[in-house]
Amino acid sequence: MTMIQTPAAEMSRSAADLLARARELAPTLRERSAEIEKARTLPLDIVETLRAAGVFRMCFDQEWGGLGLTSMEQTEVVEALAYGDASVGWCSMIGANLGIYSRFIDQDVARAMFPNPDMIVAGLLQPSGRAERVPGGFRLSGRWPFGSGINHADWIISGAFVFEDGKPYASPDGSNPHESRQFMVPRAHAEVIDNWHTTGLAGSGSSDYTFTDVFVQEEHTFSFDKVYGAPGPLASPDAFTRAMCGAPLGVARAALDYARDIALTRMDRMAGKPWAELYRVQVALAECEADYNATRAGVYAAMTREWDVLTAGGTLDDLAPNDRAAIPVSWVHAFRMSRSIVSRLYDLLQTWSILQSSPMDRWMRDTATMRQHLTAQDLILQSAGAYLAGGTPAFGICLGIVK
Amino acid sequence: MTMTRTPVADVPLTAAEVLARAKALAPKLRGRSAEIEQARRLPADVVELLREAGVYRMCWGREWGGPELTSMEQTEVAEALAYGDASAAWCGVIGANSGLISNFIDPDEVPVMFPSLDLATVGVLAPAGHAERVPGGYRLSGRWSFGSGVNHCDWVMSGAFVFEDGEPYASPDGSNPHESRQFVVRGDEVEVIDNWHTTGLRGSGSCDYTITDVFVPENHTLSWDNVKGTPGPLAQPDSFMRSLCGVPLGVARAALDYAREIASTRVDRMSGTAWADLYRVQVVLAECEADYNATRAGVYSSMRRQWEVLAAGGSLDDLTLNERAASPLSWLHAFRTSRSIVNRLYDLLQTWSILQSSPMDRWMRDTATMCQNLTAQDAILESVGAYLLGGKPKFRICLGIVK
Repeated sequence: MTMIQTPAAEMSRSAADLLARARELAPTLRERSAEIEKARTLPLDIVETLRAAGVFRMCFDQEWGGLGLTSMEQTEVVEALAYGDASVGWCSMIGANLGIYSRFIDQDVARAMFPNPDMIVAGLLQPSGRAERVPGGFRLSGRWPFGSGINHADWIISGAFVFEDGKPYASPDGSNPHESRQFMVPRAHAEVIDNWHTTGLAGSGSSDYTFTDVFVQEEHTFSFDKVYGAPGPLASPDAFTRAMCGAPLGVARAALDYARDIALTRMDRMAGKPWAELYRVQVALAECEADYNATRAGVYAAMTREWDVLTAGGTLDDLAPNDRAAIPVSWVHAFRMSRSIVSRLYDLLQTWSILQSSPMDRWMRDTATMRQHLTAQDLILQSAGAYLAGGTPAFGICLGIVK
Repeated sequence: MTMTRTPVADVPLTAAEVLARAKALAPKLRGRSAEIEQARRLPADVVELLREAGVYRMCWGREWGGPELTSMEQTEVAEALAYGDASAAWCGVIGANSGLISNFIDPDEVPVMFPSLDLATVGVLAPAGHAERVPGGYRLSGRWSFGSGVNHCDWVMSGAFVFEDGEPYASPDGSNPHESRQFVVRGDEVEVIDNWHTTGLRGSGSCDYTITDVFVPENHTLSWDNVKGTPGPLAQPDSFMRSLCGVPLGVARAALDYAREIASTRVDRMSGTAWADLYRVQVVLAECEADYNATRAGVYSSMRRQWEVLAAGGSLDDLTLNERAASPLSWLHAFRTSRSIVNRLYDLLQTWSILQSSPMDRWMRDTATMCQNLTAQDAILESVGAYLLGGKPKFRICLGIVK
């Protein structure tokens, strides 16, 4: 157990600073992976180290005390942390999204809610709860699965369907026969059900949680179709999902580096040759490297194009259809390809991979679990495909379509 | 250690009886999978269940009073057991080797070594040990990895290189500059190193074991090119490898049945459509079923063809080039396709798969580990490819080539 000590004075001042800090942390995180898994949640000293390094302020703009990272820079930070430990990368991204959600909340209210930029958010946005309209706000109840990072969060964001007098509430503008909204609730009101017993990403502590008849004032609720903060690339309904694919990309890079290190030292006993001279090893490593390069480039190219258009004052509607579809498709691709790369390298190292002391074993499990996240599902492909073909996307928000 | 084990009461005497008992055992094994995993070896009473089902006696010839299952029937037993629990099936198939190796041991010595047909023989055949020639036999030392079932066996068979006066010993007929043989020692003559900490196939207890300077009489050693019993399809150097692929096939069938059962009850919340009516579900289930059918048919058809030729008094050399190559390829294909089927069904069921309470989770881990067995390695493809091209197969025994 290596305690990570981070004096507050070392708070990152820029994106480059934070990225360097994330890279420095990675080896320690790797050493503590077994402990993180075992805890089935991030140990508190690691949370505080991430906080002190400025990870959770990366999505807030400078005038809020944040670091104002672009989506590309955020993704790089997540990659660097996931290079050390996938669960840490995962929870970092999710926890840092407060700086994105704050843009959809009345700005005076948001400043009161988030007095410092280092607060951590967790929660599930898919509407799984029930919110009854009452004077001044809502009464929220429900059970949400997959609350990654909930054990160490300050705020919980949860999607819920809105009801009035017990009946489904339709949006006044007629856009939605049954409205759903996001509800921000202080962590203390949530009850966590300790049920995150998974084989992969075990350290993410993605347990179920419940709210029971909690009053949420109107101003603490929001919808992604109404921006209150300064317009810009992060005030976009897809912004909070962009950097998530940094987690699988970081793991893939870690596995590639690890497998190459091993290959450099190993001898094939039967053939009497170093692994470095074996066709099988050479081809598998190179093929995985090619897949990694293309996948990562696909993610950053789509993200950069979107960023450029949004920064210039455009909207997602100003992207060419292929460019718009490229964004969510690149996420799916990163999750899936990363798992495929890890699987192939796992097989390359054969029985050296199967022991729990091998990081390859953990990466195999982590990428299998990550791949079940919504961002990596066929639902995203269906939505992008439907969008391109002029059909009906089942999950429009992955394309930034919220109406 | 029970060398004088009394015969099991009410033993099954026919192939049909053994298969029926294996099938009846499967639900019981499934119910105990979590416990089997946790123990990292088969619990003693599970070993006895396998024994009572006739699994350990299934390879014994009728001349010894055994049920003499064909390789196809043995594979069916492996499938049936693996449908319940992969580790139990794995150890069952390996433990059943007693009857196969009896074909390579002096018939006078067989009843001495095997007073009961229900003894389990396990071990690692790769020549990892050192055997020094001494009067009347050998002194054997070494460390072997992956001794599945070594905790509960009666006999352990291990491969070792032969030395004489400390120098490599060449076969007298000039066929081999450094001879290797198989050495059979009692289970209590090995020391088990408790190092089987894996993610998959955990219950197989495939620990390393050591043997230190143990005297092995000449007639407890064997070589695959020297049949001492009655010639026949099971008195062949590849016979002990044939039925192991029943394990992945059984797991694939279990996963297919499980996924179909889940799919038939689930409704997609977003669209309100029954899973049974979803394109995605229909196509994945059907595609996996097609792969399973073809893979399984490939295993049984090559095995049956080989059996016919051998049963008619032929040798493996009487098979056509393609027929001989088909057997090891079909084993490899069964391992890899089963894993692919399990992974696709795991993804189909999405987050329902990731919890450790889901059998899909265990099957994902079991098939990932199984695929690192030599039978599923590229070395098999390389060897078969070399054989088909007239090159030099690296791992000839998979083709039944021992000279």
